[in-house]
Amino acid sequence: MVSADRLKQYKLFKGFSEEQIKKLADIATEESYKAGFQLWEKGDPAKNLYLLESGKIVLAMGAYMGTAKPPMQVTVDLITKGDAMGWSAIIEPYVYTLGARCIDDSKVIVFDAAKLRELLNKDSTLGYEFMRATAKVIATRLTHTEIILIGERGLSILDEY
Amino acid sequence: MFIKEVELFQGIPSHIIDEIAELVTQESHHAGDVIFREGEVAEFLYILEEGEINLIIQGEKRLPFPMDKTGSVFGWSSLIEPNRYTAEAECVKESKVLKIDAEQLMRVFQKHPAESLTIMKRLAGVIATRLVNSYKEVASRKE
Repeated sequence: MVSADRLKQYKLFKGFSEEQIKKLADIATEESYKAGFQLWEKGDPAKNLYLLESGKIVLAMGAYMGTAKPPMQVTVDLITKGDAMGWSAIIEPYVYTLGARCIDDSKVIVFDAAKLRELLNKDSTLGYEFMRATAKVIATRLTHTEIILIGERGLSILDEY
Repeated sequence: MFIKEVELFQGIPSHIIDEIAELVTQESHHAGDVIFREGEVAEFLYILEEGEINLIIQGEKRLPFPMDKTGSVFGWSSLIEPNRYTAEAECVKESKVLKIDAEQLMRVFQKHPAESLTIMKRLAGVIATRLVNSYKEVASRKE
């Protein structure tokens, strides 16, 4: 578990009660990764939801470049300190929709998907708040992706980091 | 169309459906009508009853995401901070929509946490689907 005081700092939990934070803290763990570590690939079963304590992580996908070339890794979003990632852990079909790779040494708080889903189903008030907060994370990701789509930010390639 | 038939509300007990139904109004629109614009304060959640709507995002390019399935939900920004619409909703043809006051809907949610969790899960799924569609769009770009 991690301390409730630390979880409280995260914007994902803005407006959550002390008791709700405590329940989440009880199932949270911590992990560290080196720069270059691939946390998951697109299509992997979504086993965890994460909060980034320190470091940097990119969310990327392979873009089709024609039959002659391998897919280009395009970064869709950059995760920095305080951000949440891995929303697929609590949204069906529980499969990651992008790949995630550390581009700096990174420390994360980890919520095991099965434990988190169990907690959210058991305590539906907490479940509702958490789901709303997660919907906001997905909506933010959507906004960032749409900025790429409408041409206000060009595609960047993962190798650029 | 009855509220209980909307996928978002399927399986929700009838006494809660009744509370939600009280918040619903029906609107008819002509082709070309704009239901809301990107950046506007989002006060209403919409369900497509009949017709076809384009959700359009616009920058240097104008990109429409068409929607014609009865029961499709749009305007979910009304339930999620910062409560601003993230796209423009324009009717492609004559359309009927159900319009739900989001603030009052949230009050109903607070009274019934278990059912609200179910609805919010489905709503998050709706946003996730739009996100996955936009990823597909990015992946198909050959720039």
